[in-house]
Amino acid sequence: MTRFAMPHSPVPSAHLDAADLLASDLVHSYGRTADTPPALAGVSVRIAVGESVAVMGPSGSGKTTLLHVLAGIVRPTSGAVHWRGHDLSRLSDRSRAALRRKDFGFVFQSGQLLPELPAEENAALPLMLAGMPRPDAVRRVRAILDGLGLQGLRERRPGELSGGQAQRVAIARALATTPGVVFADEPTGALDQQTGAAVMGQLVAATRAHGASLIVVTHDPGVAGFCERILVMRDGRLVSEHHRGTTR
Amino acid sequence: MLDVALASLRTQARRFIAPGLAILLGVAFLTTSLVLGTTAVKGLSDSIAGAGAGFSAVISPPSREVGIMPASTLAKVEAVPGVQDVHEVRFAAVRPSGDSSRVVILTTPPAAGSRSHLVAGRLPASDSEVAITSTTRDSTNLRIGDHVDYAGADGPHRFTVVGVIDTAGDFVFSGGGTYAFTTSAAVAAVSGEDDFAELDVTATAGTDPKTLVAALNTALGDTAMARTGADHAAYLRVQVTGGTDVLRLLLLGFAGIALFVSALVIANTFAILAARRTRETALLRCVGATRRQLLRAMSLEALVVGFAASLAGVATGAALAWAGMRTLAAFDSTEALAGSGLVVRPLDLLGPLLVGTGVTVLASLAPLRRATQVTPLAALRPDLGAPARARTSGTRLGIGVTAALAGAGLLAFGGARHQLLAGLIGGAVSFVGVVLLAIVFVPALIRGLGSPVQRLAGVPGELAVDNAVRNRSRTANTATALLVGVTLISTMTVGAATLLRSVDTLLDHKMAVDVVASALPDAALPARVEPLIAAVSGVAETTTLLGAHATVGSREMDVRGIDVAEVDVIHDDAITSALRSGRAFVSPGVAKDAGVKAGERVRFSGDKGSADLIVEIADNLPAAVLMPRSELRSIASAPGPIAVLARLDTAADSGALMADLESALATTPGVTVSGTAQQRQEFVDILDTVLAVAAALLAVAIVIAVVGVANTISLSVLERGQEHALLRALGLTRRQLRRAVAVEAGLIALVGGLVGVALGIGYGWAGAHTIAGEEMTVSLGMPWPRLVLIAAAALSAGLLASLLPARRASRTAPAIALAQE
Amino acid sequence: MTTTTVRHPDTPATTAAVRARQLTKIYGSGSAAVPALRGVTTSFARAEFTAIMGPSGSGKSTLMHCLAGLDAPTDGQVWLGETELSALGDDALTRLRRERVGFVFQAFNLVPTMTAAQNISLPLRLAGKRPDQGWLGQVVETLGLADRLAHRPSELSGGQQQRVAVARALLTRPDVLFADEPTGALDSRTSAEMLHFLRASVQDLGQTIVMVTHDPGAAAYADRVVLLADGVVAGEIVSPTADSVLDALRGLGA
Repeated sequence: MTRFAMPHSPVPSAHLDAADLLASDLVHSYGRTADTPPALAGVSVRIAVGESVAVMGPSGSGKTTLLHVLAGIVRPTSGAVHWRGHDLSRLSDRSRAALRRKDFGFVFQSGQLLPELPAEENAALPLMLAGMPRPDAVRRVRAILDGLGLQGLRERRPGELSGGQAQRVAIARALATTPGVVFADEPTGALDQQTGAAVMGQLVAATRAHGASLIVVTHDPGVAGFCERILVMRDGRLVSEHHRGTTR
Repeated sequence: MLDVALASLRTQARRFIAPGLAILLGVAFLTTSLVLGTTAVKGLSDSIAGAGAGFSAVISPPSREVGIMPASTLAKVEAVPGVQDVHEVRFAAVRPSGDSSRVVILTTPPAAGSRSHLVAGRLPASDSEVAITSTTRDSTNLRIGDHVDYAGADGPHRFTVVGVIDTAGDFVFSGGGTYAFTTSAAVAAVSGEDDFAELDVTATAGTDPKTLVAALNTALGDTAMARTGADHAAYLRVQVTGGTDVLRLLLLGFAGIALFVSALVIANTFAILAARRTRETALLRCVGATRRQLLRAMSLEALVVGFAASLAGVATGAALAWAGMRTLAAFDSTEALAGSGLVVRPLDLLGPLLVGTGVTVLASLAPLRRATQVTPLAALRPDLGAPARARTSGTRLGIGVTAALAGAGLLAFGGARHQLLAGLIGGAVSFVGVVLLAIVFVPALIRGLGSPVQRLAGVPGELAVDNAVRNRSRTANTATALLVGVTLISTMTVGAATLLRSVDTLLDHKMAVDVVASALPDAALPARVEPLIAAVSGVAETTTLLGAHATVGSREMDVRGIDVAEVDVIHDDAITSALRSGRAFVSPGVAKDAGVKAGERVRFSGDKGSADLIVEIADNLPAAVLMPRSELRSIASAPGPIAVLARLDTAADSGALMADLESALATTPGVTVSGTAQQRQEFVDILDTVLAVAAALLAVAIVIAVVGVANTISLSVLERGQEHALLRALGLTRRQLRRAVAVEAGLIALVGGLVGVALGIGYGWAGAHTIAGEEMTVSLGMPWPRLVLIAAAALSAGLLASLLPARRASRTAPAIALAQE
Repeated sequence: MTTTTVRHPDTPATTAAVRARQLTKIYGSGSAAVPALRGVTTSFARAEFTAIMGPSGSGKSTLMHCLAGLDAPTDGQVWLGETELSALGDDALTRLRRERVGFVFQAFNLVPTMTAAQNISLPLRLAGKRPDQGWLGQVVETLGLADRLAHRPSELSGGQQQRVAVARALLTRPDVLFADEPTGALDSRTSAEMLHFLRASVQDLGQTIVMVTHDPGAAAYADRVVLLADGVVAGEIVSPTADSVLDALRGLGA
């Protein structure tokens, strides 16, 4: 397996920025049985500010685990994740939760909106969790929702939204706290081809407009094609990297 | 977070109906107990307040053990200066001639200041006049001008009814007995005793009651106690409410049990509901909610549910108390309660409200805290986030085993040494151990019981067993809720049956004859009594005792003779064989008087001759002196029939038999029935009443448990919507699905019932041993029919509880539930 | 529509494995009524692999549910072989599903408390029958599940779970095997394996398969694609390729 090498890319990223997301030598094992191979077997990667990165690989390659570790959802068995001066792998659960609330946004494949709240409150959820009163929080996210084309749907509950619309609400939520990084796990998996493409386009555009980095985990090359950089994983390691233009 | 909690409450309100119901029932029970208790106490207090308050001084016996004052007391009291008038109170228990079954309490008329009052005629003025109560008038056909005879020590006394007194609301006459009023002298004449029960003193004008009481006490010394009228009323109140307090404590105890079961249901419900929302909870954690924020939000839900349900419960409880009062008042002949109406103290309403809310929040705390431990991962990859076969905490098992063993040990100790407190604590601790271990043995038992079920019920049975054991803590909690009530009822049933069986042995020691029908003292027994008794079905043998006067040693005694051929009416083999060989029996008292020891020869002399017989001592015979009839005939010239002894079939139903006996003897006035059968029947009646009342009170806990079963099953059905849709798509018919749900509920309930019965047998036997083992040997009585009934009832309750959820499950449309979200 | 590979279907063949006539399904009522199917007439030949495709909201899942007897149409008829489904009550439909219809769904295919073996034989056991051991062995062998039979779904990977579902669907040798987005939750390699196997069961075993999908790559494994749009049949592609399907879908696009 070839070790990951720094890319030659038109994006100026040689300068190490504290706002970059930097992972070093990540190893993670879920440890269910002794003979289960580790999900991550030594991964190092740097995501620059504003970059959009897709992580691809077959099932069992560890791409989802990498996402979880980078987002501070899981503490790696060994290795470190640096973000804005913090080492996520050393922080307490509470601190990581706070980080997730303020600096990170999440978009999942499905089932991620609270069914009893209307769309605008779902989008404003992280702000409300941080203590902002509801009216203020909702006002804050209004512009984001409008920007994603959801003007008339603010009051609707998730049950009354189509798949694509619900995903867009999730994107609005991810962006509500002006995050530094947006993590997306198979965001178009439950959508049909066309809707998926539309949502993907909006995701990439919106994160770029907000100045956030984007990390997308997917097995669909079409989806990966929306990102500037594509990382390929297999058996817990990064095996190759592509840039837009070199792969379809 | 607040918004999320309230929003989810609104949309999910239906989920909380069942646990809300559980709390409502428990709180209602508590409220009713408290309100009724307070009302009863106040009502009694009020009715007591009248007694004695009008008098300057009340003189009563010095203590409860010595219940009477000698006749000389009257003179002493009258001698004290300041005493203007003394109202005498005497009581005598007499039987109306011609009705051996009833007892009438003959007493002096109530004082002018009491709650009783004359409603017709006048008060008795002479010793042959009597006034009856309005209850008596209503229930018999006695009227003013009629004659009535009371059997006295020296024969019947005839009275004429001259008035009717209404005793409703008068505490003194509220015991439930039948009263009749006549002059003090007449009471003494009929009873043959001139003791006083109470003397009420009216002082001369201007006399200070306290000084009077002091003077009276000096004059009376130890024979009686004087108190002012007010003090006497206070003293009575303490006596009476002491009893009511015990009653209240008992009711509170049962309410506590009901609330404990409610707590189990609540804990279970919140655990299940939290499990359903794992995805959502994990999502919130992912997006940045802290565990504490989540816990606060979920606890808020519990608070709202608990408060709302408790509020409803308090309202229900108060309504039930009101309805209960109405019903009691209809049945309460003394109408001691009717006057005051429902007494509602704010504390009696506020307390249950707080308790119900508190129980809900506390019960939900542990499951909710566990729920917040869910990792954000569970939102993203359900198969990784879900715990695989959660390992039962070793601590829990350890504590459970320790508690069970330690408790059992303490229970055994309490039983062996007859220490009730040790036994109770031991029982409680061992039960806690059982509850902790339930998570292990309930699923194991379900698997065990499930194997034959699977073979019988095919795939639905398989589904039922798999589902029941799938979530061990949930199933164990549900079964435990039912277990509590079933164990308690079984314990009482087995305990009662064991006590009964042991009492038989005891009674035999006290009296070796089942039935003794005797005539009034010195009266002859009509000849037709023996055939009448023998004709009653269930009577195995009868014999007639002859009686005569004779001298034993130096004392003149009544001596009885028994036909040796029919001596088997006596239960005691030692006695019967001794009688057959010509010996006589005397009671220990007689032996002592006559200075006689067992095995000695004693001379018995009658008006015809004498006989020297070897004497044995026995204390369980219906006669002080008993000898073979042949011997009696040799010493007395004309012994007459005195009593009939009878032995009953062991299989006979004593209740029905005693009733038959009574009606058979209705034609022979003056015959009284006693013997072990009578005593046993009284004992059975008491036990049955206690059992019925306890069962009714425990029924509340059982109903709550059944609500818990229904709740668990219906939430499980909701959880498994997709699974059921899949099964329907693959070919499971509606009926098969309903059967699977029913079998699952049935298995859980059955296990709860069977374990409860088994525990009940153990605890019941231990309990009976602890209470009564000192006085009698306790042999386990197993009321199999009742125990089977209890287990069957548990099973039916489970099946019943599953009806609605099963119906809902079967309505799952295969397509809709499978649709992607 | 400009693509030449699209042509409209003719009236149904008499040897159709399953066919529908004027199938209509309306959800809700009054002003909130949503017509999912508006008079669909189509048929699916035996021993053929057919894909049903269309944009989201076209009614393709609803069509499959009605064809499989999972949902009752508001109007129109469905025949499974010679059996007309609307004449059957719920119990009869349920029994019919046990042996004459096979299902593979996108997710949640298996009963979590049962082992793979129990899951595979479930429909037969519901019918009270024992599986033919020879056939069972062959299916298990072909799907590579021999060493997984005693495992529960939680112990199987996504691909293995789908294979168990396929084994279950094939075991009863049903008239039709319905697959609803069977590769949706799988990565590309496992997807390809699954589709290969489905194709093989059509070619080698003569199984009839009707698959709903939105993935043109998956549709390329089929013999024929039926296109659905706005609740009606909008066209058909014989011998589809990923490109021809993609073009046709773009033409239909909302």
